[in-house]
Amino acid sequence: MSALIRVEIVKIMRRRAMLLTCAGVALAAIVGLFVIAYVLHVQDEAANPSVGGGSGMDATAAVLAGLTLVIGSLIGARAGAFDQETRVIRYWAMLGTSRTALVGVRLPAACAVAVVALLPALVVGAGASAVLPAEAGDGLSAADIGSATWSVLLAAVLWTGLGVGIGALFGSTGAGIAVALAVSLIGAPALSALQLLWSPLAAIPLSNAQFVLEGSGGDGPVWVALLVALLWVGAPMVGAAMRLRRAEL
Amino acid sequence: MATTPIIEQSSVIAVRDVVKVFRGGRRALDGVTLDVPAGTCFGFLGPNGAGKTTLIRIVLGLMRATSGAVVVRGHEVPAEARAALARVGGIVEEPRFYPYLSGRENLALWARLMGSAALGRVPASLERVALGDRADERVGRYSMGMRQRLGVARALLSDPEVLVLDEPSNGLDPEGIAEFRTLIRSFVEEGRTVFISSHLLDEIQKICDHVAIVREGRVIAQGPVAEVVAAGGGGVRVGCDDPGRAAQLLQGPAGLGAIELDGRGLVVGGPADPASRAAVVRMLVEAGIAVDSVQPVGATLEERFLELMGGDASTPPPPAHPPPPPPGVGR
Repeated sequence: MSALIRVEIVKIMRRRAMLLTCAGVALAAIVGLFVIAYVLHVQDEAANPSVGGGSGMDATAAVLAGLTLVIGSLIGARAGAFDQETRVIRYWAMLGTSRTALVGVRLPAACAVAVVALLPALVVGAGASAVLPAEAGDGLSAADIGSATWSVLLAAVLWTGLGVGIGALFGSTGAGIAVALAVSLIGAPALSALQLLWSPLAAIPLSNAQFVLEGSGGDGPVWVALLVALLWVGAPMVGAAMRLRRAEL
Repeated sequence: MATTPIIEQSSVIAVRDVVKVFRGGRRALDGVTLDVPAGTCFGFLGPNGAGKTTLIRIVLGLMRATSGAVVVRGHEVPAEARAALARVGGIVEEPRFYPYLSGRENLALWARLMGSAALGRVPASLERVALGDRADERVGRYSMGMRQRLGVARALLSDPEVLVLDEPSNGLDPEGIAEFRTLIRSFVEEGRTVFISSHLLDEIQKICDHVAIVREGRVIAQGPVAEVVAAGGGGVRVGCDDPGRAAQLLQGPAGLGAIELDGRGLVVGGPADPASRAAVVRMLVEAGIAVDSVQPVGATLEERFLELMGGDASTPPPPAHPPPPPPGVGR
């Protein structure tokens, strides 16, 4: 299995254009965030006392977790769909390798690659938070860095996982990206509106589970959030695995 | 697959009564039975849509048969696919790769799953198919012929006992086809079994030891190439200036078979030996008919194939040579 995951990681990592674009967008967003924050700080230090520190790290996490909706969907859907779309899957199946394993390894591999794509931006965000001015009591701590890293990792796993599952289920990169983005950007807010009908339904959206698990709010207990997250990521993966098992390649 | 039929030990691929019915009811294979002897080159021939690729996909575990049994290297497919396919390499329809990786990187990906021995075979496999000097170029830049050769290189990574190649000459130029013929024979000389489907009937006749001909999902002829060819009707095709009168003239003498006018000339059944052929020519010339050619019928696999296809307009004969690739394709 580990050989299969390593192969999968190489396959995704070598899509350099996609990886560099995702990493570049994340990096640009963080650089832009701190440039704007610094300019505002210089203009009115009293109103904007902190650029870096804990606040800077929190802002870094929020921006990267938000961007992961798009980055994770792109990397995930591409990783999930490519082999079926190009029929290269035949030549993997021909080795006698379990088809379920062929689908399953895409999840950890794509998540790992998404984390790699976000890592430079996270490091730059942490560096900026450490060196840029922060008001007293808002200094950067290890807990701030840990919390931000957890938020980014969690977002990467959830949204990339969703992208992998949907991409593999559709067997088409374009459709996979479109559906994953639609679910991430349109579906989640739409589902949130369900709480108007019955408040416990607020726990259904993946974004709510994400907030609960990262400890930044959200509705419902942790175990429900975990279950919801597992269902969002797992259901398309199981569907994709079942589809591939029956597929005539 | 209620019971496993008896399989001959010498068969490296044995197919028994395999039926494949697709969703929608199309019957692609209708009770195919085949024995591929070990250490031979086995040609699998048939017109488009006859079921060649379907059978290959079933043999390689990519598709399940509706009924019947497939045994590869003594293991049932798909039940024991991993053991059956451990030393089987194949190309189905068209070899597929990651276009953004080089040929070498692509092979290394597959080799990583096969183990360290396979990883060590990557350079030799590339050299074997004459891609050593282009191995570090991205596959997206390869021509169709180069991708075919890279497909064979990938098939060699497992040091295969059996190579299953579906139309491997597609995209190759005449020089490439000749090189490919040599390559295939070298595999057989090493003791490997090569199962090859192709439209190139003259190539199959040159390369293969055994052949099976499939039509509408059924095997209609099978055996050593010489036997399959010799089982044809025989006879000669006579080119002359008055085929109609020649046909009337040749109705009489004993020893001649059916006389037919088939649009390409006059076909005289029976006179397979040179003396009989000479007698036919003498008879026509003495009657004042100018004879410009006399060719044996059914002496080639292509003619035997056409004969078996029965001249059915719905099953046009495959081309003897592949059409040239359209400009710009594969680049």
